[in-house]
Amino acid sequence: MTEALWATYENGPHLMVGRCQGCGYRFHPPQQYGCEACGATDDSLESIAVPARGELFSFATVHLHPTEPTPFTIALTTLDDAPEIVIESRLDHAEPRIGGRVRGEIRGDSPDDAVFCFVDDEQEQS
Amino acid sequence: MSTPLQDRTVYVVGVGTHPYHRPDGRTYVSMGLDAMRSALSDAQAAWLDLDALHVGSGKIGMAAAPTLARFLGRTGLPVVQVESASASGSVAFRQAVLDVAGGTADLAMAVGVDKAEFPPDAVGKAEIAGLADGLVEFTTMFALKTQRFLHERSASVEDLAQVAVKNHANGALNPFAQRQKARTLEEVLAPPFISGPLTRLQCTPVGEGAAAVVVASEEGLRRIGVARSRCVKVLSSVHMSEPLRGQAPVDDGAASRAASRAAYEEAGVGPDDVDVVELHDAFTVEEPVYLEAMGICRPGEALADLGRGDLDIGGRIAVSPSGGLLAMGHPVGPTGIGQVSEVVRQLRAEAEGRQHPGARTALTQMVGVGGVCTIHLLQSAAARD
Repeated sequence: MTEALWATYENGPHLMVGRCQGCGYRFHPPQQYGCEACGATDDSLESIAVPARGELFSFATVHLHPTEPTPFTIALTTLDDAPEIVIESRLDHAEPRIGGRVRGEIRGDSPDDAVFCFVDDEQEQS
Repeated sequence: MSTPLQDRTVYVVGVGTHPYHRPDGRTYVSMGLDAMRSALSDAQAAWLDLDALHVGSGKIGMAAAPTLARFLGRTGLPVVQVESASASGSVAFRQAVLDVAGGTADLAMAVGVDKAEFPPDAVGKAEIAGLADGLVEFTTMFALKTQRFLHERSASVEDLAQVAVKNHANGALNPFAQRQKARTLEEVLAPPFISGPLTRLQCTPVGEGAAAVVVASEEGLRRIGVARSRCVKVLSSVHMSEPLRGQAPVDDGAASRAASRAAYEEAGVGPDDVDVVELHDAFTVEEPVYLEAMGICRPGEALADLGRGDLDIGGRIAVSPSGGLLAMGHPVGPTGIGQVSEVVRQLRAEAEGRQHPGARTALTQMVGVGGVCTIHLLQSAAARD
């Protein structure tokens, strides 16, 4: 069961967020097994695109990992249009701080090795 | 809804621990049998006296229960293996307690045992793709919680690292602990960094071991030789899965808050009555979060309480006198039963070298990935007189 995790629109990258049409509960990452809030089954669960802009909820730079080259940084981010959920992703940011503005970026040479990460969103800081 | 423990009294009558240690060549069978025989001896009970066995393990694979039981004698008693991630041992203990409370057993044993193996867990097998798959290990999951906690509290890394200083100091007094060395703040904060602000000594070590307890009804007590003064009463047993998140995007105390409320209600005691706590401190940040969630410390006060020495052995309430998961260790299957064993030793005033004076009521708390939370409240014989 694989869901598309992001979409690129004219106004920038969006993240796909799961939503229950029955009770309105939203969640990430999207899944089709059933709603954690009301138990509704897969035909009630949809994925909606939410602009990948928001605030850093937390971050951690990983120094030791069994398979990945280190260091790399993981972020928890709340989206402006879905502030009740946190998104776990990579972060590329020289000076991350909790509460700081971030936006999503899709990186990679081809769709096959594309990676989503959040980056510093300087525009919003003025 | 009445609870089984309100209808029938259950006592812990024996405890036994195979000391936790770094991974080595010992089999889970040799470690498990050592703990089981110690617990039987402590209870002055024979294997033949037992009506049921529950084995808590998360890593060693299927059929551990009959494999352990056969070497104590094939009596035909019912045996079952219990898995609940980090809470496997706690839930094995709970199942033994429920057997006795429900009347299907008068004497039951719970043993936890594990080797340092890392089979894939079932969470990942749901195959729900995320943006950081394969990147976020437990240390990073808790490094993220740590960074957020420090931000919300305007606390320093040094303030939080005092949790590890306290628990390593306690572990140094515990012959069953994997880490038996007191550490200074400087040592705790020294590299290597694992993830975010977490250094090695702020994370639980990888290890192995075993722990066993025997529980009994009044009828069971008559079958064995243990003195009533050494019998510890189980006041409540609560096991919950994590509730739906509330308004906040993250609430790490939610399950502990709900489970502790239910446990206090069943026991008829409150957080102010608790003298000793053993909790899931696999990472430093967990101790203040769970203490506040369970009402042991007031909201926002746990680090101040820690700094004043209130949570030390001999303080207002002893938190992780065993050394906790940070120092005693976290072999998984044994961990929850090791917690019960520690508080039983404290409530019997037998925790030599690390005894919390006047310990009468104790709480054990475990969380398991997925997530679940298990809480037990126990009371000394002295408190009943």
